[in-house]
Amino acid sequence: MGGRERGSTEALRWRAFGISKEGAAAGDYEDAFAVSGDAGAGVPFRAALADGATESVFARHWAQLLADGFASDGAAIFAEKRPAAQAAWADAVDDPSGALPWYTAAKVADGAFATLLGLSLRPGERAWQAASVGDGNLFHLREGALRRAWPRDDAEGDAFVLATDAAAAWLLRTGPAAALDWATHDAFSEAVRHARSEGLLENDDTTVAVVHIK
Amino acid sequence: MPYSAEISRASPTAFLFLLDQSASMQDPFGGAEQKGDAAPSKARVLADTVNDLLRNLVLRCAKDEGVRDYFHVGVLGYGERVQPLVEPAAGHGAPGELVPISALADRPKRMGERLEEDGDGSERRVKFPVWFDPQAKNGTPMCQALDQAAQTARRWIDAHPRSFPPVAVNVTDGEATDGEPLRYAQQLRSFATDDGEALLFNVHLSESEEPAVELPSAPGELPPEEYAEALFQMSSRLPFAMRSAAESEGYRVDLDTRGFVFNADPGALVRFLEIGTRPSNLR
Repeated sequence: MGGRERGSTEALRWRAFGISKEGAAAGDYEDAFAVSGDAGAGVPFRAALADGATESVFARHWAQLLADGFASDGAAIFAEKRPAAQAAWADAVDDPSGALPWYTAAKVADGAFATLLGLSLRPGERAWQAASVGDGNLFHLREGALRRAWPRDDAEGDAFVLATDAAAAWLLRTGPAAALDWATHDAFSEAVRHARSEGLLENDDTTVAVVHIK
Repeated sequence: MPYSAEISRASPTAFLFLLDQSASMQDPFGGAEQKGDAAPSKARVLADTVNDLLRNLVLRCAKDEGVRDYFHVGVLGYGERVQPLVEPAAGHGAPGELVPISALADRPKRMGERLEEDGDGSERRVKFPVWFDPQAKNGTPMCQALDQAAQTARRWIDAHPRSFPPVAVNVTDGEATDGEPLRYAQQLRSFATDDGEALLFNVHLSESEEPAVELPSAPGELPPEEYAEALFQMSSRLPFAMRSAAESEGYRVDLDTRGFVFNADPGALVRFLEIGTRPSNLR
């Protein structure tokens, strides 16, 4: 996982963990994570997770464009800001000289696919908003206890956990509060390794982001 | 559970296609005579269909950095003689061995070009690869082809003992002219990885206008012909993932459903090849 892995503002601190599926090279990791820059007055803090589809090519790039898009523009990335992101992806994979092999060119023509889950927080107003397309999950916890798993069931609170599909299924099984205890990336990797060996976590790219309200 | 091995580069699976190239493959599909001389031969339809299938298998494995070797592939033609229609590159395995899909992707015999309709109704030029051309000559040495496929599968299994087992699909329009194929089919299906026995599926191409019998569960569903029953007995039951694939194509399936199509028209051939090459999810 590239980019920043932790940070804090006056009102909150956040941390992100990501690991590729077992048996895959680190470069095969196709999830993406992004947070907004330091929020000014009246601007929400945003965090987003995206999961690029294995079936498509350059899906990691598309996932990153979506996550970055949510971090900077919020839910507008699902609507009026989407065409610009699509154009950015097309520019990045453009092959005017025809240098791509026939199979890559054929897959580029099909486009890329990714899920996107975004969380917007206004800690000062004790308000939050989430938006999602696909199977990413959001857990809302207070004092370590699950208040709400969205969109799996039906506030104000003090911690949020964002998870891609396989990670979410695992946390639903074992309790999302475990994510609050990972102090380091090693602790996360060890928990993933153990859960995979116990059959609790499907072998997939696994990404979790935790946001604590101070 | 058998037939559930994860397919990855470290643990690929194998597809072997056995294609009838006997003289009768020059004839059009059943009922096509009325449509005039322009009707393509069974050999032409089969070559186009399998070239297309190989293209789709490559695309399923294509990622940013190239083609991942989830599959090893062989194509054997049988007619004038039994011959491999795709070959490993020099220095990458003995002649007659299976070809890693990345090597297949990079070495088509030639690239063709055709117009394809886009989602929005406009047309775009698409390049498509051709690995082999149609042939139709002499008899139907199916026993010899099955025997060669069995030996290839056995050697591949020795090197990949934990993989999803090899899947062989035999496409024919007539009876074997070199013996009783059931014994050779049983030999092929007796070789197994830790995940299950090698699978053999059979597609019989239509000579008549009778409707196709697709994915039967019992011999009673077939026309009363010895030959149909023999091909039924030669065919493996569909494992779980392929039953799911068949269901999503609209077939009713059960635990006894065989990978067998009798009297297939071109549509049934395409549908079956799609189902028979869906072993399980790729990783």
